[in-house]
Amino acid sequence: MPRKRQPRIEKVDNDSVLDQIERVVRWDSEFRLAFIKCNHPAQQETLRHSLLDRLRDQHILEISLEKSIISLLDEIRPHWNPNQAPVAVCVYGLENSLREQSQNSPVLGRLNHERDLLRQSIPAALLIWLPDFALDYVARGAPDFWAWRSGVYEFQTDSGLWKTESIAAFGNHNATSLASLAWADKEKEIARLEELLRTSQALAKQDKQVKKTNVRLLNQLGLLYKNLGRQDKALDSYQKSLKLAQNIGDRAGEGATLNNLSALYHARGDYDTALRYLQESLAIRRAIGDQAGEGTTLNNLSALYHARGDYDTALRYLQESLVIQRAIGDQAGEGTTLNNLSQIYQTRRDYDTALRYLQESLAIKQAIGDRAGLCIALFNIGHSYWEKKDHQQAFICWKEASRIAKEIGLSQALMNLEQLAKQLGGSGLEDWEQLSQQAGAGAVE
Amino acid sequence: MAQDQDIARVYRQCDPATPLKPGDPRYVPCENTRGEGDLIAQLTNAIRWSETPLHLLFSGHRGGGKSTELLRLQKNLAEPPVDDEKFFVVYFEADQEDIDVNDVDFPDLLLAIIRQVSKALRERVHEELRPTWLSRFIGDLKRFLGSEVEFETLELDAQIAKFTATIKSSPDARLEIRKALEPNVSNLIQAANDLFDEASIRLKDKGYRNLVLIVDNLDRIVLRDLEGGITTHERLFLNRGSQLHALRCHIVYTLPISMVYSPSATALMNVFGRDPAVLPMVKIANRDGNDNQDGMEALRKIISKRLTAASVTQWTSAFDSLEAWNYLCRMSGGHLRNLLILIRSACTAAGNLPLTQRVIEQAVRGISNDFERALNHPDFFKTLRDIDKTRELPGSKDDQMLLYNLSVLEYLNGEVWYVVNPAVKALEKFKSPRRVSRSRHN
Repeated sequence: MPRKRQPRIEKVDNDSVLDQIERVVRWDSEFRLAFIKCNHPAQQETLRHSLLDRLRDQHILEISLEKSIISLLDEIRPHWNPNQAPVAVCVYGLENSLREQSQNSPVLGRLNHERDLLRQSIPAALLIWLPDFALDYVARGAPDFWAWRSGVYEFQTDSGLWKTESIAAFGNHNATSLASLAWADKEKEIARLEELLRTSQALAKQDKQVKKTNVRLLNQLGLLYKNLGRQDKALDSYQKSLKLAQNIGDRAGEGATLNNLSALYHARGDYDTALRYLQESLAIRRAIGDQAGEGTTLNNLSALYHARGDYDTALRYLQESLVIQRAIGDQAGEGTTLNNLSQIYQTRRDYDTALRYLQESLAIKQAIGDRAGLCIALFNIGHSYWEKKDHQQAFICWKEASRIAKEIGLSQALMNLEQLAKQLGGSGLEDWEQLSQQAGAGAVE
Repeated sequence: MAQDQDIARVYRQCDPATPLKPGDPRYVPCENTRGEGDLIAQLTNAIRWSETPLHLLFSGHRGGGKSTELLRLQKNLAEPPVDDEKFFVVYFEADQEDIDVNDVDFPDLLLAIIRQVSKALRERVHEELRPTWLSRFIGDLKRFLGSEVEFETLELDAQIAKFTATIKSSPDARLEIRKALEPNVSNLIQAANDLFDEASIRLKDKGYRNLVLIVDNLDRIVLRDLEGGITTHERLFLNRGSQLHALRCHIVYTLPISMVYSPSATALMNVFGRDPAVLPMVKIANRDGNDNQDGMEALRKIISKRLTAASVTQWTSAFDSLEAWNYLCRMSGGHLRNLLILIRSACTAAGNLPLTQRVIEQAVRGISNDFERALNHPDFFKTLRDIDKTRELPGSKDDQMLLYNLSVLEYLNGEVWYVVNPAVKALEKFKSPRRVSRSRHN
């Protein structure tokens, strides 16, 4: 869990931090290294403009690093003109090179022994802007470079601004859109959410609104981790989320977390624990009138009964769920429910009904861009066709499902598809292309 | 406006990133307050008086003035008083061009040494060495780099540079090259020694007493556990110690401070035949925690010299009270680089001289916060509290890491003792673990 920093005894306001950075730039002309902490991208833009405005009589070089880099020196050198040497070099985005590998990022090792070369090549103020978590990585991963700093200048995050950002971030983040992100974007999103979480936890004022936000952040992190197959991290996030939600009496957050937690236990085959969590979740969601949540939980309950072979109960929950979802216009939920309905008919060998529900589900998922759902629907449609002996159609669906699953890194689907490919005589996921061609040739004969 | 100029000059004189060159007027000899006599004079004499090659280990906290002192050693040996013989000193920073501090093993270092010696001979005294076995061996090695590299026209050191550059930049190639070097290590040592012998003969012709090698920055090797229960530091200095010891010229190796106080210290002593020379902190406090007046005086002198260099002639122009000045010295823990970082932070926070107690406290909070970033494990604070109580290392697995990241400083005065860096002690987490952990789950 990211550490919470002790609150400073004396808050330094951002204007005086700008004063200090301005002094670093104006007072010297040799190499000097300073770190600037800024956790919030939009705020960083504002502060950056203020600083450049204060220094408009000075030549400042700005380096924005969008992609992961290995050597900071290599990035600066091409822009360094000794005849028109700047007094300061501002570096933004170095955290993009740190996220995935934390303090063992290669760029840190390089910084550690590039420091002499940097000092010799860049007689200027090197101002490296980083969010809090990345500063930790530099301090641990590049201790010698870090040791040369002339100072660390920390901007306070404007908490009003932060809330706006977080709300904007959540606006387009429901479970469906998170699950449909591409693999690398999920990793990025995890880093971003972790960062938001840390910022939020470091806010001096931890009112209920902020803590509720923390619950949601933890929940979303859990979901992403689960999607990427990192069950331990997912469990950890959910448990923290649950504890916090219970402490502050955030019922909606508690209901959501319980629902998500159940999925982990379901996946492990611990149906009793999963069921307990789902029932708790359902009770809470009904009590507070969270209909969308209720629909989701009913859906998961049905999946549990389905897994245990109790199809009648499963069907009842699904029909309840479908009624709610259609009433409140929850299309994403409806798509999932239709998919789950199909599976009951599939099990009962009524492939035509199964296919009908699946096509309906597919249409909805296509319309709302739910790629994770699309992948699952295709996988299931493939099975229905296979059972109906239309092998060519089945292969086309599975091939498409495997393409999407790879793209978004859907670990459960990838596992299933790999297993299936092996059962069909291939050696793994990479064989879907070939397998479907063979099926195509077979159909012509 | 004039005030503003003063503080900017003070800021400029306190650069934490650049070691002082020998003869810099800002240099303050601290040997008496460090508690070990003049280490550099001792090392100079040891080398001057020895007929056989010496392998000396030199250690100290990073940023404690090691490089400044080693540059003094170089000057002492290379430019002695008129009636003494001069040495040909090759000083190099191991991590600069040749070595990846994240992963270094003896063969890499040996290649780097051979390269640096032959380069210095060629560039400084125009002696081109082309030992036959070594040239042939390097020729064989080039297969590992593919045939497109053109070697024939290159000098020996330039040829080796191809390998060291590859070793440093490409972990895959590094393994390949090491695999090729390993069975030949003893031959390679023999070849290096032949090279040193020949160099020594040619250097005598040019009026030098002999060759001395100073390998700086080996203490920067990243501390990491390796397979087989040893660390990266132990791999080089212990497992390879006898090989480091087998080279036939005077060599000063920098040693990570954590090795000096690790359980392997005795083994190290057995290999090298002598204890490492350790450059301690400036002792600003006695074992009982009270100020050590000599040490405090030395730090004030270091600051005074820098003020003078900044044309600020009265300390009263720089500090609004003696208490504030003393507080600054005390909170540095006698660690010179931290002292300079504190001054710079206080300067930018203040904007004007004199620096007040308030603004120095602000700088200290900043540096405390910086330390906290590296202390990411709750166990660290437990160990730190132990050390604070006993003034000794508890022998925990964290000891080496805490010395490595400077949260623990060590002092000498006949006996050794340890203190927690004052900036770390100032952290809330250090003081009251319970209160902090409770407020975490709010």
